Amino acid sequence: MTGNNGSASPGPEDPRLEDQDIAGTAGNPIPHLDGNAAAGPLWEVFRIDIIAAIGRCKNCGAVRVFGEAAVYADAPGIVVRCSSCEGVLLRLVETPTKFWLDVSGLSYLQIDRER
Amino acid sequence: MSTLWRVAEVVSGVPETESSRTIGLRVDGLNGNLAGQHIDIRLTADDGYTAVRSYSVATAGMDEILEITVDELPDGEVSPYLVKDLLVGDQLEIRGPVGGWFVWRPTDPNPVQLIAGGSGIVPLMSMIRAHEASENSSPFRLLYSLKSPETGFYREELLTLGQESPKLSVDYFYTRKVPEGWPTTPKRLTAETLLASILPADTAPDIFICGQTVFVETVTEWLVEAGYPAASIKTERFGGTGGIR
Repeated sequence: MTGNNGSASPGPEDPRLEDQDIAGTAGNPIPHLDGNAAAGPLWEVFRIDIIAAIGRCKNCGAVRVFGEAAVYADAPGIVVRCSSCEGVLLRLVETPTKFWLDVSGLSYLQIDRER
Repeated sequence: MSTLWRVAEVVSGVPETESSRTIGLRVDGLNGNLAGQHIDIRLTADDGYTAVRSYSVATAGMDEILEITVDELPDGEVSPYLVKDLLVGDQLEIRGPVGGWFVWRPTDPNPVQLIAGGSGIVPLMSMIRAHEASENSSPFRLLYSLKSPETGFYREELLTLGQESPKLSVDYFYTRKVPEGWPTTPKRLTAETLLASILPADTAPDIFICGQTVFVETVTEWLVEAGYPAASIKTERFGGTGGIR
């Protein structure tokens, strides 16, 4: 990616190139989303919204809000990774009849009770 | 039958820009939504094939009605249908509103800096509307980065609010085409321009950033380098089919 050349040239109109509107570098080769992106399916599994819950990463011990985690969703399932160490916190696969949930990367979740 | 997926009835459909539409949905027993939440929409084809996509809610606390604004992706599987074909009176399956982290509550005491890239304005508009409707008097500031004036969502409402609201200020940044009489030429957003157009770090703002993945990540990096605490920054990235639009 090139830096800001200060010119007014409009560039291609393909919206997929919109990212080039910013002077910066691509950085992460595998793009991820925020914890929020997993809210819907996790709500269906847990029957409560756990995105504001706090979880402890079993790999590095970081204690962070679930919403801060990195979600990799361009796959047959969802992989949620710790944003401190990139360790896998949670994996979720949906089939037409079942959910498969692996939470072995979380040593606990702390969830606010409904007030 | 799941109670998590509910039927929503389309009650309005208003073009927002050339490629996008704001869709009003009525959901029985909805009881409003938090500002910044999203819904998942599930479409099912005649052969049983389903596609689920996430869309940010643009409104807040409207009881049984919520609005989303959908931007048509050229090779999208769901968005062209929602923008072009969906009719008032049609029904959709939705899950949510969900997401209890990228949200603003009227009880939040801090000033708020909103940073939107393109259609990333949608959940931030929900926060602006909730803030305007509330007693909360903390200052809100919006930086809205756009390709061109024509691609802006909620243009009249933002123009009016920017001029009349005592607690909201709005700054625009144009990357491809500027409005007539604009003082600068279109250019890419840089750290310097960004930092000159947002609430200073010493006012301790809560920061919400929404847009394309690279936009969100680059802006976040600039803010952290400039001394804004990472813990004060909440992000919502687009990208891939799993992302929230």
